[in-house]
Amino acid sequence: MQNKVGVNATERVKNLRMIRTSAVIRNPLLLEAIGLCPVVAIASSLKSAVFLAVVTALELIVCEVLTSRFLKNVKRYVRVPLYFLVGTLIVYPIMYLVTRFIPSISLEFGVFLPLMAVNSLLALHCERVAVKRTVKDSFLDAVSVSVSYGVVTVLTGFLREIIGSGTLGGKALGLPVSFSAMLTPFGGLLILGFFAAMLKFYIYKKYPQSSPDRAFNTSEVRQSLRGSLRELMNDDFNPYDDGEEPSASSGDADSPLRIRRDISRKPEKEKAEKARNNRKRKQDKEKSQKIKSEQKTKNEMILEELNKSEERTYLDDFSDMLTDLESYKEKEKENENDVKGGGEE
Amino acid sequence: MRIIFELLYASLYVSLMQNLIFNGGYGVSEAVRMSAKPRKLIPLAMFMTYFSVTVSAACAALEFIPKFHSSSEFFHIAVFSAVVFAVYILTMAAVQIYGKVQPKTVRRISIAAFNTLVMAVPYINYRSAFTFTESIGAGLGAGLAFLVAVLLINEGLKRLDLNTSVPKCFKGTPALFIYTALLSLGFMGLK
Repeated sequence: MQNKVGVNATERVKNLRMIRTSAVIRNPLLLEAIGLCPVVAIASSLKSAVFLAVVTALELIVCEVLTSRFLKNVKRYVRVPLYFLVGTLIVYPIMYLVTRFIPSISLEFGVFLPLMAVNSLLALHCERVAVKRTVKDSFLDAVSVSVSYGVVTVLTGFLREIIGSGTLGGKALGLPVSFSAMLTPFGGLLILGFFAAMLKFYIYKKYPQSSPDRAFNTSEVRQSLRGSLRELMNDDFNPYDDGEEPSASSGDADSPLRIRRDISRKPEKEKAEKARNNRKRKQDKEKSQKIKSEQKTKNEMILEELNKSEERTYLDDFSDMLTDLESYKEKEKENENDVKGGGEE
Repeated sequence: MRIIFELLYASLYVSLMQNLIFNGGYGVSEAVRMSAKPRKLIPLAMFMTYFSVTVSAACAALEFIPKFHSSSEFFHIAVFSAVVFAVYILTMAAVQIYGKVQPKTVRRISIAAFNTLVMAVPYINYRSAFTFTESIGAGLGAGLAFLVAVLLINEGLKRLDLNTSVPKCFKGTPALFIYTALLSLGFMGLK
């Protein structure tokens, strides 16, 4: 019983940590710069911001849950258009209803209403989270990301409407001045910039161990964009994993993201390890066989050389003996001749 | 001569006078994120230009069908989405026929095909009642606009990254957003 309570408590802590990471430390909009387009372009009033937040949340939750449940084994090049298809299937009925019943929003959104189907937040979170984790985890991630995205969007819309139009919810506030430039992308980006700085300040104060800079990696910013097309095409391109998982050396080594990934990938890890061991064993075997055969050939060569050298020495000895014998015979003949010549004299 | 003028006019209008990224906010996420990885820019910009040109040409060609031309905006939008989908599938099929598809190529193609910049081009063409040539010019201009935006943001990001007087809280995305906002304000002046 106590064990069960303990497991539940750790699970809750892990979930809370995961929510914190998805919503605050890696805030998709402010720190990762994902899904900027609709916020910058259309969240210029409170009403449109709330509408945008709700539609995005609906899209993200449905898409992540469906991906986690059904699309894990589907190939990536089929999966990505399916996110778009799911987004379209959610956005189009909404678009139809909005055009019929709330034409003011339809007019305000204009071209951006159908463009909500291709929010980069969908593809990124489905590829990063939903494909790798369980349905429950994906749902939690989708909810936390949607809430954080929605809060930032609504606050941006709220401020932009007050500063840009001098109204709130369509009602005039009687402000002496209004800056209509705040209704353009300039205003959206400016407000998001200050919100991002505030969030970073909060993270540095509240969670000093975590590093929000990892969400937007600028280590490659000074790389040259020149090079042959083949070289550039061969460069790796993976925007879905950029700065997502904390490295083992970092302070977030025990973060829930990492733990969950490890748990969900355990069988894969074991398989990979087995395969690696098998490969290593095979390589070792091949290596030892190669060494053995090399040694064998070396030994044979040495033996051959030895034999050859031995043969040579026998022959040499024999030839030496022969020459010695011949010289000895010649000497003897000379001596005999000398003796004969002396006797005649 | 008229065709060349229309092509140039539309592409320059979309890329400089009315830069889709700075003035419209289309594809701003991709531009900001890509500005931190300039080495990956050229291939992605090429694929984006390919998709924006192909999709806008196909959608503009459909307008020659009288029944489609007179149909509702809602139907137009649905067909434009279907065209993007079809162009993506055909491209993937062509890539697979050409050789083994690498994961990085799939990622590049999917990001280039499904983003707000490429999707927006046929809608803008339709709403602005662009001709066939102007539509192709707008497609080319979208790719050029992306290239211009990423290069400008990258240049600022490099300087901001080196600048030690930027407060710690403003390093990274906060300073980048404010810099992009100022660029956007500058491009509004060209409008």
